[in-house]
This record gives sequence, C-alpha cells and structure tokens, in this order.
Amino acid sequence: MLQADGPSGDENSPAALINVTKTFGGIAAVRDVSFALRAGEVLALLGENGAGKSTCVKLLAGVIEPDAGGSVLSDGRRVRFRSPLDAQEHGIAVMHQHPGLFPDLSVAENIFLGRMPRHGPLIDARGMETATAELLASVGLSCAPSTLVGRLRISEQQLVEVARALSQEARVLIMDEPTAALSQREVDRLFSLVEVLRSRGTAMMFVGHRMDEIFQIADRITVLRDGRLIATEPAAAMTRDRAVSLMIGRTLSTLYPELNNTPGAVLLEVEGLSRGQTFRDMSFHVRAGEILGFGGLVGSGRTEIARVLFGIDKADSGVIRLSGHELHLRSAAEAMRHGIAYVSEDRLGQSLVMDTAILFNASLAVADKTTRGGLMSRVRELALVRPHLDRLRLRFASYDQPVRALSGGNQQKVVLSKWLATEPKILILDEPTQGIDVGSKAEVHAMIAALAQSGMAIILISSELPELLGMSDRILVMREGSFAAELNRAEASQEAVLRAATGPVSAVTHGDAGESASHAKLTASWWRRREAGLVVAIAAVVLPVAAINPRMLSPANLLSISMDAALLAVVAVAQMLVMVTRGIDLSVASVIGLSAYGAASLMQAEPGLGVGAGIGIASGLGLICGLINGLVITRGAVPAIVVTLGTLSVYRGIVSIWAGGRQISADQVPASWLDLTSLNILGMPAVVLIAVVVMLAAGLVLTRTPIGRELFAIGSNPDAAALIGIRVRRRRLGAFAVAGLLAGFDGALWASRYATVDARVATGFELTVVAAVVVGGVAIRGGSGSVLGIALGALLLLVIRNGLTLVRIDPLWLQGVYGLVIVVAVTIDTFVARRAAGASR
Amino acid sequence: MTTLRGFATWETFLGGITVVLAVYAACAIPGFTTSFNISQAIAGMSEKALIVLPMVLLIVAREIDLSVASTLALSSVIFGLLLQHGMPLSVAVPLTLIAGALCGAFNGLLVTRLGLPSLVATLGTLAMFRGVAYMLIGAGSVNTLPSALVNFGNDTLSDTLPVLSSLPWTIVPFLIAAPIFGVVLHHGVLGRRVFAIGGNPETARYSGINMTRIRMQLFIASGAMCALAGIVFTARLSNARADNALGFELDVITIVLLGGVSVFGGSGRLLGAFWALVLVALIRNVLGLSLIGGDAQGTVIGSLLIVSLLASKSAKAIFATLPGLGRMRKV
Amino acid sequence: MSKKISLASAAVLTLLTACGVAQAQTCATSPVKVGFLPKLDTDPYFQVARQGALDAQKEIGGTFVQEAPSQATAEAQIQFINNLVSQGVKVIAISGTDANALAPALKRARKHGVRVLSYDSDVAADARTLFINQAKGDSLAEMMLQSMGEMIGYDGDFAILSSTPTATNQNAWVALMKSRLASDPKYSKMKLVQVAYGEESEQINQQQALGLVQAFPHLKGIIVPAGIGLPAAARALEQAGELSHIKLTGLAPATLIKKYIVAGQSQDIWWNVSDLGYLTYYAAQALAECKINGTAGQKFAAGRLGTFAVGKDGEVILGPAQIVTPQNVDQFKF
Repeated sequence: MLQADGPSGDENSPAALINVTKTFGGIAAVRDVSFALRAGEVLALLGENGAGKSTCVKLLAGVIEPDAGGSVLSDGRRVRFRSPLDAQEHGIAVMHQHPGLFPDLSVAENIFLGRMPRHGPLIDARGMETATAELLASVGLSCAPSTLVGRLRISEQQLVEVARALSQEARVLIMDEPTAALSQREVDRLFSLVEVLRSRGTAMMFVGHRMDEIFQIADRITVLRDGRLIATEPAAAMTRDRAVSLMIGRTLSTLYPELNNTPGAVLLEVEGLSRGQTFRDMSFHVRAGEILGFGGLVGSGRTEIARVLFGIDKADSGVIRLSGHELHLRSAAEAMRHGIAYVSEDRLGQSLVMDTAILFNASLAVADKTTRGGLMSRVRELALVRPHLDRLRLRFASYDQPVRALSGGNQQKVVLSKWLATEPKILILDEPTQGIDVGSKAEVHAMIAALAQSGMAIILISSELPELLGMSDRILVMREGSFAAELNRAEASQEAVLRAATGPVSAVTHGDAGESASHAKLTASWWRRREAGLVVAIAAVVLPVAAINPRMLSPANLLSISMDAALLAVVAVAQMLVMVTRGIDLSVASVIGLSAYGAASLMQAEPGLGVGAGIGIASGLGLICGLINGLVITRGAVPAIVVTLGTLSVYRGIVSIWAGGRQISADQVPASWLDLTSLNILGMPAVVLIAVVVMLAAGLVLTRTPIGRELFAIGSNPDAAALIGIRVRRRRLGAFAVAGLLAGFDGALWASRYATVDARVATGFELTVVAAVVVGGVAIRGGSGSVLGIALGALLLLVIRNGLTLVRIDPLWLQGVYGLVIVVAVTIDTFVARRAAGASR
Repeated sequence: MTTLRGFATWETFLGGITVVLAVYAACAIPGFTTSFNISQAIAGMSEKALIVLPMVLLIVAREIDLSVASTLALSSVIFGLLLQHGMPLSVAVPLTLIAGALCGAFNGLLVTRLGLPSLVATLGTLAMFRGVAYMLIGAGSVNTLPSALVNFGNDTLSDTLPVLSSLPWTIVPFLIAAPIFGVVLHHGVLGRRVFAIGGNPETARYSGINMTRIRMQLFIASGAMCALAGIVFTARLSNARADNALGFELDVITIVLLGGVSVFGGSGRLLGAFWALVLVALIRNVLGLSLIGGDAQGTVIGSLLIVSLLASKSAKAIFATLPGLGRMRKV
Repeated sequence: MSKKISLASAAVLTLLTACGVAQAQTCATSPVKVGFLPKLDTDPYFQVARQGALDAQKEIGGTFVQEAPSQATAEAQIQFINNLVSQGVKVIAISGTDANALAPALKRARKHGVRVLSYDSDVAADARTLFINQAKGDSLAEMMLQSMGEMIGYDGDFAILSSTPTATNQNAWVALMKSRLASDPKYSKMKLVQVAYGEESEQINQQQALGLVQAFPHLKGIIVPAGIGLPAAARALEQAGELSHIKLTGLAPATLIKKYIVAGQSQDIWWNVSDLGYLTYYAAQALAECKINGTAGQKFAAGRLGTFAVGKDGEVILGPAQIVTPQNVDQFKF
C-alpha cells in the first residue's frame, strides 16, 4: 500500500478524516481511512462505485458519524458533527450529488434558507436578490432569482446547489459529483470558480468519475478501493493509467462460478432504441443462456434501458423484439406476461414492501398463480416460492417475518426469489449484489450462473467491475446515454471497461443557457396565472348574473358577500398555515363554534369587560385547541388528519355540553359586541377591515419573514428542511397553534356578526374551508399557496352561492355546483403542474 | 412469533374493551339488555357497517372516499324515485346498485385518469353527488314504499328464527358482505395487491400490479356498497330524501381508523374495523341511554380515536423493547 | 377469523335477548315517566317548553326526561326514540323533524308498550295518539297571511322563509297559505314568489333572508314561520338597511323580536310556549292513565289551563294564537 501524504503533516488542516470506519448492516463502507484537506488545494477522491466515496462525503458533511475509533477533525481539533448544521457551523459547505432543494421556493430562498439577510423581522428581499444574482452570474445560471426551483431543469438545479455552497463562503468546500448533470460550458464555469476559491485559500474536495475533469482540477488525488485508502499522491505525479490501476488493482480473490453455458437462439433484440436525453440509438441482442453485462458509470442510461425493456417507461423510437416478434410494452404486467423480469437496483423503493412478510414479497409477482378455488393458498404460495428461497439459502426465522428485519443480502434473495418464481425467459438484473455481504454475493452469483446454464437470457447491469467481468459472456459499455464499446470475454478487462466508461465527454450538450432564460420568463408569468384564473372565474360568474339581476352589484349585496367572505377568509388563512406544512386541520369549524360560544357567554355574563375581553377569550380558546392539536401531532407522531378528525368531534362535544341547549341571543349581549363587525368604518363593515388586516399580516409573515418561508420549506421537502437545521416539529406546532388562534378569533367575529350563538355554530363548515383553500391554490401536498389565492378562492365560492340565489336557482342546487367547482379547480391545478413538470425535463 | 405477541394485537385489544364495556352496560345500565335496545342499536349501525367494508380496502390502498354518504343519499333518492314511478323492487334494486357503482367509477376516473389526490377528488364529489340528489328530488321525499321493503327495514329475524329476535333484517346484508370482504382482503389476490399498493406503490407498480384497474375496482365497490347502504337506509326509515346520511363519512372513517387501519396505507385488518364498529355503536348506545346527546357522544368517540392512536404508538414502542416479545433478530 | 367472530357475536346476541316479547300497552294507575324529544337540542323554544312541563310535573308528579339530537335529521331523532324506549319511559312526547321518516320507529315504540304523542310539530297520524298543537293550523296560517297583507297593503310580492324542508307544521302552513292565496279574493293582488329554507340555523336564515331580498327586487315582505328564523331575518335585514321597505311577520319568541315589533317593522304571532309544555305533560299523563285515547270529543283536565277537548285526528289545541303588538309585547315571557 502506497502512502504519500499522511495526516501527520496536516495537523491543522481545515478538515480531515482520521482512521474512520463506518459499517452499515455488517458491511464496512469505509475502513480505516485517513486523509486531510489543505487550504487552497483541491483533493480529488477517486474510486469505483461502492469504494466509499459518498460515505466519506457524508462523514465530512455531518450527515453520518464515524464508528468508534475514528474521528473527524476540523482545524486540527476533534469534532462531532451531530447534524449537517454542525458541519456548516464549522465552515464546511457541501455540494450534494442529489440536491436537497425546495421545489416550491425561489432560487434565492433556496440558497439563503436558514440564514436569510434581514431588515428587522422581515427578510431583506432586495439584498438577498442582489446577492443571489451575483452568485448566479458567477456559476453561469441565467435565471431570475425569484424563479421557483421546481421549474428548473436538473442541470440548473445542480447549479443552484453550487451557488448555495458558494454562498456559504466556507473554509471547506466538498463537491460530490457536481458535474454529473452539467454541460461542458457549465463545467468550465465551475472550474473557473474553483480557481477563484483556490486563490482565496478554501480547502476543497472533489469527488468525480471523469478522468479529464479530475486531472484538470486536482492538486492531489486520493484513491479508494473497497472501502480502503489505497494512495494519496500529487496529481502531477500520477498518470491516468496508474490512477485506473490503483482503482481496480485488486487481486481477483473472489472466485466467480465457472460459466459453461452455451448461448442458444437470440431471444431479445433491440434496435435503435432511444428515449429523450437518457439514452440514444441503442442496439444489442441477448441469446438464451447468455449473460450480457452492461457496464458504465451511474447515470449512463443502463437502468433507463432496463425500465423500457420492462414496460415501465416507453421508448421514443426503436424496436424491441422477443424471439422475432415485435413488442409494444405498455406496462410491467405485459412485460411479465412475455417472460421478462426486472430486478430493480432500488431494493427498498421498488422491489420490496418493507413491513410485510417474506412470503408476501416473494409471491407478490405470481399472486394469481397461488390460488386454489379463487383464494390464495399458503400451500401453493410456498410451493412456488420455497424452491427459490432454498436454492439461494435464505436465512430467516419464519416465512412471516417482515423483510425489514432481514439483512441486505437476505432481502435481495427474497427479491430474486420473487422474480424467479415468475419463470422468466429474460432476466434483467440491476446491481443485484449492491450492498450485500460477500457470502450472499457468492450465492447470488452461483444462482445467476445456474440460470444461464438452464437457458435463461440474462442482462446484468453492474457497476462492480469484477462482477461484470466475472459473470458476463459479453460486456456492453455505455457512456452518457450512448453505446461506448462492446467487449467479449476474451478482450474484456477492468481497464478496458473503465476506459470506455470514462472516456472524454462527447460533444452532446444539455442545451444552453438561452433555454433557461425563456424558461424563467414562463415560470414568472405562470405564477401569476393562478390568481388571475380565479379572478377570471369570479368575473365569469359575476358578469352574467349581474346581467340577469343587477342587484348582484348593488352595495347591499356586495356588502353581505364581503362580510361572509371576511369570515371565511380568516379561517381559510388558518387552514393554509397548516396545509402549507403538509398538514390539515379538520377541527377548525369546531374551534370556531367553541370560541364563538365562549365569547358570547362572556359578553353576556360580564358586559362590562368590553369587546377586547370577548376577542381575547375566543382567541385564547382557539389557541389552546390549536396547541392540543399540534402537540398530539408533533409529539405523539399521530397523523394530522386523524388527530383533527378526533378533535373535530371532541371540541364540538365540549361546546354542546357547555351550552347545554342554551342559546345566547342578540339582545343578551352588549351592542358594542355586535358593532365589532357591523360598524361601518370608511364605508366598509368592520369585519371586512379586520379580515383584510389579518390577511395582510399573514401574507407578510408567510412571504417576507424567515419563519414563513421555513413553513413553505417544510411542506416542500421535509427531509431537506430537517437537514439544514429547520426545527420542523416546532414550526409545525406553531402552525397549528396559530391556526387555532385564528379560528378562535374568527369565532369571535362570527359571534359578533350572527349575534345568536348556540352549540351548532359553524357545523359542517370545515369542508367549506378546505374547499376554499384548495380552490385558492394551496396544494394538499404542501409547500405552495398564497394568501391572495385563498382570499380569491373564498370569494369565488361565495360569489357562486350568491349568484345562484340571485338568479333564483334552487339554493339546494348549490351543493352540486360547489362540488363541481372544486373538482374543476383541482383538475386544472393537476394539469398545469404536470405541464410544468414536463417542461422542466 | 410468541403466543403472547399473537394476543397483543390491536384487534384483540379493541375486542377486549368492547366486551368489558358490554358487560358493564349489561350490569349497570337498565334497559340495555333488552332485545329492543340491542336490535335497534344494531339497526342504527346497519348502513355505516356496510360502508366501513370498502372504506377499509380504500384506506389500506392509500386512498380515501369522502363521498360515501353523498353516494348513499343519491342512491337512496334514485331508488325512491324509481319505486315511485312504479318500478318493481326486483328491477329497482339492481338499477340502484348500478347507479352507485357509476358514482364510484366517477371517483375512480378522477383519481386514476386525472390523477387527482383522492382526498380532494372525493371532497368535490361529496358535494356534487348530494347536489345531484337535490336536483333530482328537491326538498321532497318518497315515503310510500313497497311493503316488502318496509318489512325488511323494520323487522327482526324473530319471524324466521325466533331465537334471533335481537337481529334486525337490516344488518343481514352486512353479515353476508363482511365475511366476503374479509376473505377477499386477507386471502384473495386482490387483497394481496391492495396491501402492496398501500405498502409501497412503487414496488406494486414494479411487480406488475395494475394500479389503475385495482383503484377503479375499489372505488366502484365503494359506490356499489354505498348504494346498497342507501337501499337499506331507505327501507329502515321508509324515506328517500336528499339529506339522508348527512355526516356519515366522518363517522365511517373514524371507525376504520379506530379499527387499526393505518392512514398511511398498507396495513390493517377487517376484523379490527369490525370491533371498532361494534365498540362505537356500543358507546353511542350507552351514552344515549345515559341521556348524553349527539355532539357530546362525539366527544367520547373523538377522544377515543386520538387516545387509541397514541396508545398504539406507545404500545408498539414498549413491545419493541420488551425482551422475548416480538423481538426480531436480524438474520 | 372474521367468520368466527361474526358467529360468536351472533351467539352472544341471542344470549342477550332477555325480554324479547313485545309488550302490550297497559294503563298506568299513577303518573309515569314521560320522555320529551324535541327536534333539536339547541333551540331555546324547547327549553322553555321544558320549563312548562316541569311546572306540570311538580303539580301532578311522575318523572320527566328530555333528550334531543344535535342534528335536525330524522335519522338522529330515531336513535333517541329508541333510547327513550330502552330507558323505560311510558310516554314519548315528540316534536318531529320529519313526519314520515319517524313513523316506523314510533310504531315500533308503541309495539313495546310506549304511548306516543306529538307536540309543536306533528308526525304521521297513525304513528301517534295525540297531537298537541299550539294553535289551529289554519288559524295560524290565516293569521300570518293576514298580518303580511296588512303590512304590505294586500298588494305586491312576498316570500316565505320556512324551517327545514321536512318540517310538517311549516309545510302544512305553507300549503294552507297557498290555498288561501288562490281562493280568497282579499289576497288576489299578493304574489308568493319563493319558499326558502332557513334550516333552523342562524347563519343560513340570515343568508337566505338577504338572498331573497336580492333575488326579488320587488319583494315587499317575508313571512317567517320559524322561531329562530324571524329574529335572524330581522337582524340581517336591519344590518343591510332593508327593513325600511321589507316587512316581516311570522312566528317567533316575542322576547327575541321585541325590538322590531316596537319599531313597527315586524309583526309576530305567538303563544305561550311554556303553556304548551305544561299542556303536553298533562296530556301525556292522561294518555298513560288511559283517561283519553285520542278519540274525538274526549276531554281531560290540564291543571291551571283548564279542560281540553280532543279534536279531529287526535289534535288538541292549546288555544288561539295572539298577535303580538307593541302594547302587549311585555306580557310574553318568551
């Protein structure tokens, strides 16, 4: 093992790993690795897939902690990073491979979330925008700082990630495959930035695959292999070949089964297959009994081809032939019927249902073959599945054990059994031994060899060179979506494959910046469209109705609509706060009822206390209700829909018991209480003004304060929010508490407006509130929405109701129309969101 | 799995509470153990019981159907109008079931073709379907119904089997349907796929499960069962009108969630929902006999829902740490 | 597993059938337990009636219980009919949400030996023995129509803002009014443009009142034969400044509408609600003791209110309703 620079010379390096080991599920991702970053220098981390590079990145970034025995050093001192926030505070910035951005927030907000420049309590929007524009210019992304990140292409999102890391002005910058999605021009841009940082003395680490880039940018190169540090040498002293041989120079001690299969007829033929940007013009064939290996870097398009062959995705052009017949696969089920099986690389996400039993998973693909008399028979299930499980030597406690409890290797065996039970003719394996122990690997390899021998055509996608070489009859290497090389057994070697996979980047660009500019314009005007659409809808109702019955526009009518809208809007704001964070509050109407009754009771009992006391008790009751909701949801980890479904009944019941059948009527409360809402100020009823004030305040908080933006962030990407240090639980609790407060306040307004209060106030109102919010553009999945939108949504619903009444349509028809409006509004939303998502691909 | 763990399931827990409460009521509340009280309490739950069945499947599959009560009302109105126009029962019943299935299919289309989240789609149809019911019948109602229907709605089984005088005829559809649903969900291929879809939709897709078809089937089944419930409701109240079953949907969902079906999908047992149904009916009956009214009953049920979910989380945590009980060794 | 449970439950249920035999209606010898079942638990009208019934109970004894649903639907009321029967009341006095939907449940109650009478809002005649009506239906309808005619000069458009679409009394009054309008030449120049429903809700009543005014520009008055509705409509119209040209009349608790009566903007036809409850209780006990059985012509004593005769179809009238004027408005305690 060669050693050039060890940590002994780098006591005060800005960041270093000392003897770190990290094991996952019994397998060591890295073992006893030590290296140090130096100020003003780029250290490149080189290694194959699975060598341990991303683990090193995560250790330095604070995402994971090293096992006992190893440590992370910052400025020469041992530190413990309990979260990425800790690492950030130590001046370490990370450019992640898969950016954890917030699609519903703007570029500027994404960059500065968690450390936004302020003007007092508000965000310094101008300052943030200027800073963002500078950063964007320096990374070469020409879009407006206010563009929503979700509308950007992947490459543009990557650049935002770069900008974010740069904005932290850290001492240490870690770049994890930053160029994967970038075009040549963008890469050049990035590298010039690196030069700037170098001159500033920033210590940098660069993880990448493309040799050209690495040798262009790196001062020193560290090579990892199978979790161990092989060497750290100056880049000038290393040649490309040496780097490759260090990466793969292992003694092939792992024995691969002897393959003595004789390939038969051609089973699968693919000609000219293309799909968008992911792969182009692929042609190949596989024979029965043959193992065709697919080599290439991650992202070279291999999984995408597999998905097309399996019917999950559709190709844009090209032909697939199975034993000579052309296939037009529209679904996975169809592919399975033709005898194609696909073992996905994403075990947890696409192959298994984690909380269910081994037997459940193993028989999932052949469920309809396990029936006896129409019902699933355990006996037949076992009969179909046991042979494969036994053959793979699965180690388990019982067939009913949840797969979550198994080790990675055993999980993969279950997955393989699942697909073997379908008796496929063509088996596509995507990284079949990723993340499993050596013993299981050997068993899987033995199985694959035996399958080939029995005449199955096998496509083996693997990033593990030894496996690829050891198992394949032929190897097809892909690079950046295109065919790079085909090697047969004789000519294949690790060097050959790697060279083909990492060759010079082709001239294919991912589109230039000009496109993204027009993109920005589209997105900026699009954002306006939601509210504009609502205004148009409102006009579409008002104008015809006014033509039929001009009293629609009479002051008295507008007054009554506005007062109703005011009451609905205040509680809709409450609902919005909660929905933005991916919650829902079904209890708002009950809270209104409870606080309305509370306020009216107080006003009746103690008229001398004044209007403020009434508002105070109502809001206080609401706040308590909201806090209860929030606490059960955040501390008790019970889903919001369930909790608020329960509290809906609980709070309503409490009013019922409290009121005991009594009613507080208008003449039992002081006139000043009733005037609270009906008093005419500046020509408008007080309640409308109050509602407007509430909405303006809410709008301000949501759009111009850091807390408000954090709420949106939580809904947009909760995991990323937690990672950057946002206190998700606290914010959610706050959202529910404030929602309760607003609902309580609305209750006071309600009691004042309608004067007569009993236990049935606002019964059934929660669905109207949710409808107003949904129509107003707040997404159920959280992260987006505007106060103006919900105000317009509330207005639209009420205008429709008013319009129906005025044209003398039976008011009983109103329900039906409301329902239609909701369905139409959400349908439009869905279509538009789909179109926007499609445009950004 | 140790035998103790086999006992410590949610269903057993619910069943235990129900039995304890029933025994308490039998001893402490006069008037509880009469066949009148029991048969009427059961009759009052007949429609909700029917709707709970497809709702369990929907929630397991990570969907939800808020429009169940409105479908019930619409079917009830269609049924009443068909009968009013002289159609015989043998024709009106199948037509009503088809109408309900069509409502369900509409929901299914919104969810599968348009890709709307089912919460929102069925929120819209909740209003739409009842609106259509109002358009068809306005504020009126159909009250003169064939005597066979009225008898079905009001009699207990004592006429055919004297010993079963506590069972009203209206619960019989549920008693027939529940085992069918249970078998389909827990032993059928469809049920297996439903659990897969709810447990991990991506995995289900990659396993060749036709998500669109199954979701459509679930929604259609829900619509048809709601129509059946509408027929039972009309029979029981001798009344077909547009505001029937107002507010049922929240009750049904509460029962399903109380029954241990996870709102995240992928887990739950029909038996749990059954016990929850019985428990809720029992609680409402006991409270009603104690002069505690409608909304106040809701307080108890709502609290029960929240407490039960909090308790089940802590119970899971406790069971995970207790040695020997449900310990899962990594293999 | 679920099959086993269903069978087990069925077995348990059969075991629980204690007193499975239907009881015949027996005559009581002393005052019995009476259960009042109003339409809604939040309507103060029924609280006041309850007060009257309690007064009666103090006088002649017996037990009084009252339960009401939180929703104005038949389905909800049926649960309480069953509960009262199970609690062992001997007479149910019900104010029905829906005349027909409640009939099966009431008939079932009678099969179990419970007597049924209705008050305030009737149910199907074959489901109850007596109906204690506050005033003769025709006379109430006539009085309301008369009152409206007076206020608008017997000329112009008016609307009716009723209770729930299923309320028997209100529907009967509306039908009567319509027939009077058609037949009586006095009302020939008055036109009924719309019947709206306030659903016994303050909010909906207010919205409907305003909606009527907006939808019908030539509207001159609204009849509100619903207790909660009239004050609500008055409040809404007052706020909107419409009370100067819209006249209101109907049935409402005098105390709640007092302000508008004194100002001349509204008229009211009302009765002593407490007395209604008082009378109902007396009738209930008389029914239980077989002193009357619903045949026309029978008489029974009702304490301080005197003797009452059973009319056609088992109807007992409390008395003529009164027109509430600024002069006598203070007489009404409710």
